[in-house]
Amino acid sequence: MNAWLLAACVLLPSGLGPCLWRACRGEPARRLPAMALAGVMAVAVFLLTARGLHRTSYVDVALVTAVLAPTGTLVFARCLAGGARAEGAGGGD
Amino acid sequence: MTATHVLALALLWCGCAALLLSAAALALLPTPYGRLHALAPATSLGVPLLCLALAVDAGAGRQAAKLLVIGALTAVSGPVTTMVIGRSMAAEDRAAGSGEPQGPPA
Amino acid sequence: MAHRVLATAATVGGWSGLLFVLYLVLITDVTPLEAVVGGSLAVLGGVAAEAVRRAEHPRVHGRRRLAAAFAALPWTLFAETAQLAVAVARAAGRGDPSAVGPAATPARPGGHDGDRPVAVRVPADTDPALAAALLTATPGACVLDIAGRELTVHLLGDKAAPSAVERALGGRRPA
Repeated sequence: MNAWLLAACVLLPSGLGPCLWRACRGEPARRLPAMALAGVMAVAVFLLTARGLHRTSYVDVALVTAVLAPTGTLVFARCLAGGARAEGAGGGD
Repeated sequence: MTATHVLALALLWCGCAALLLSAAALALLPTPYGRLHALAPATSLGVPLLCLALAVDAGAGRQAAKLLVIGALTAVSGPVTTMVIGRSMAAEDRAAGSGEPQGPPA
Repeated sequence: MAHRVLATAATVGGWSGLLFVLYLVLITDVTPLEAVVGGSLAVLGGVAAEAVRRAEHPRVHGRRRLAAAFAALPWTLFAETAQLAVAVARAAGRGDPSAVGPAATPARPGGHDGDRPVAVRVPADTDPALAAALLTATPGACVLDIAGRELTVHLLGDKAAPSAVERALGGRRPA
């Protein structure tokens, strides 16, 4: 157990726990910040685990997550906006 | 305990503190728009500091460049996602305020 | 005509080069086959960047203000993170943090009871998109909407004192 692995073990429940809790409560758009923060926490945990376990391949997982998690958030935001826009403009795009 | 090791650990604890602050803010702040602010410390301070710590620990080379790119990616994508989420929340509030029933998204 | 060709070539070449360099640094040790694959995908990325440039015509206005705001960013980050920590501690001290948004009627569009109202401000001659990104990077402000030169911003904490980034951008708050 080294400092990096300890940080990862601390960050996993206390970082992702609140995100999961908030992502389960409230209106759809109000769950998005929790989802985005969960993606950021996942990147951090992957990076720390990569260093803690001396497996540099996990850094590639963190890289892909850092690219795809914001993309996923954008997809969700677009999905939520699609319904509202279709209502307002009478047939979005 | 070399100087680089100490520096890496210091950056590590700072980054983790920022991330834990973000999580606490998300859990504890009472208003939805307030919770939106919880993203900023994690993406602007937390992950970049963590990447800096790992890069200092890894020394100069390709690994450090990779880590710094991850940190830069997170720092740049953070504000953009925050704005998009804020816009969705504002749009949802407007639609709910005007009383229209929200159908399933297109 | 020549200017347009030059712009296209610069965009495609620049982005392809950048993507290829990233590919080499991030993904692989170079065997010739992998370099060819990476290079062709980088060129595809460059073409996509050119398509975006033609659709959006991105331009950066007000570079000096943006540079000043960027320089003010680290200090503002630390100061507003401290502010956020104070706000979190206060919220924890108050107890009962749960506030599930009521599914029924909010008092007015743009927020529900007890949420802080959204402030509106107008930056002077700076690029509103980049200004919004710099503002949102700080924990104290979130830009919710951009309408022309006017940003709709949600602020955490003291409304009367604009942050260093906001002052560097030259933002004013009408009424």
